[in-house]
Amino acid sequence: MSVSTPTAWAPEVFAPWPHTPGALLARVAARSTAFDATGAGGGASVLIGSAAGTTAADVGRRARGELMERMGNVFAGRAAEAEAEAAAGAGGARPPAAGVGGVRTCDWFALRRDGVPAADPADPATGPVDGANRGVPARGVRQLWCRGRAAGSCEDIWVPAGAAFLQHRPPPGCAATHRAGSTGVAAHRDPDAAAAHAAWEILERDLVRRSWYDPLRHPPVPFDARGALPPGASELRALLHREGLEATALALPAPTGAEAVAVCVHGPDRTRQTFGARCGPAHDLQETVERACWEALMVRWSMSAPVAVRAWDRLSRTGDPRTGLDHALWTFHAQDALTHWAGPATALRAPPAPASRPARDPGPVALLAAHTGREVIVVDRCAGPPADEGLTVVRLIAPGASPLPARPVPGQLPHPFG
Amino acid sequence: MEQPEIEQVTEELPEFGLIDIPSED
Repeated sequence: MSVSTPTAWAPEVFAPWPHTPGALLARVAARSTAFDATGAGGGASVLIGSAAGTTAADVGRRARGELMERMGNVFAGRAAEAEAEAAAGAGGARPPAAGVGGVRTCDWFALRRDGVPAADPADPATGPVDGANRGVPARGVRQLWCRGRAAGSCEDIWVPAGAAFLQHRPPPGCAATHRAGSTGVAAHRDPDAAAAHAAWEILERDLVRRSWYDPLRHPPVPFDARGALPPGASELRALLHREGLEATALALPAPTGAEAVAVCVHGPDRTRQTFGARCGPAHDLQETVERACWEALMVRWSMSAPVAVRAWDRLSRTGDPRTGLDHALWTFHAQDALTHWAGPATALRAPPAPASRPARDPGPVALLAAHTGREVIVVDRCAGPPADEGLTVVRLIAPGASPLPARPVPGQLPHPFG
Repeated sequence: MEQPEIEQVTEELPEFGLIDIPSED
């Protein structure tokens, strides 16, 4: 059932579950030759924003915001790449100097010689490496750099463009040491609000990753999510009941002041699992569980989308998840990730007691820096339609925190997140 | 920079899956 018609980046808001018309999804997508193919788009050059919940205005705003943050970051990368190419085309044997324009093509040693502070591309903590250059001595790679700033000290620090921009395309004569995903990108009219949103997202993925890949060291605490929802979450409770679904939440070890929850939605026999996650302030457990639950339901609904059906046809033969969609499909069709991660249903416990509101709230960016013990880097660059709207799009880079990988991790089951 | 053509997807939207774009995706 369609509730709105898409125009000018307006999302389509629809009610996919006829028995629960108050449960809504929103989706909006853009196509451009500036975008690379993605799994969720079935290999098309599209970026997609989506959200789930019960209020049309809220899910629409969040879906549109997700598209804008991704689009703004990709176009910022394209602008930086074009700036570097223009400088090279103008006889730029001398690349743009640090401090002018905010981009530069060189290797890490050249920045060091010029006294320009830069993230070390050889440091594994700097971010996900570009698979095409795995094993190459990273400091000597000629690549595009862009200027960021340390969130705490506000001092300039230059970062590889591949760590800053989603789907970075190296300029001629350059390679890339890093290849960033969407984790850590956020859009808002207020730059501080954008940075806060990005910091919670990075922290969430890092806490999920740590617990999934080493549950003995970072043990999850499983509990029934339905008993920990806000009193007003009647549509969500009704949807789970009418679909015959259970929802198991996992409280993940988190730094003081934060709360991280993964939710698995599944059948009574623990088949057909999909996962969502959420990280937020430690005193908001009910809302954290609710948001993670909606995310898991959105992914579950997507398991029957045409691109997912085609992807499963391939994946069921290869058994080799390679994209976010693949990971969700593998979990839904072929893996009891919940029991692997948190033990059998008999391991369920009571929901954690709500934490008290801290006397002093350092905010998520400082909390993330304390979690990693490293300065968080902010790259504040936006281009394309989001810039035309006056949005700020930031990329946060948190050395020491890592997103969930799509490629296999040797000796480990594929993680269950799409 | 000349901005690449960009369009909103409408007809194919129901084809797509709906959390993350991983670094390798």
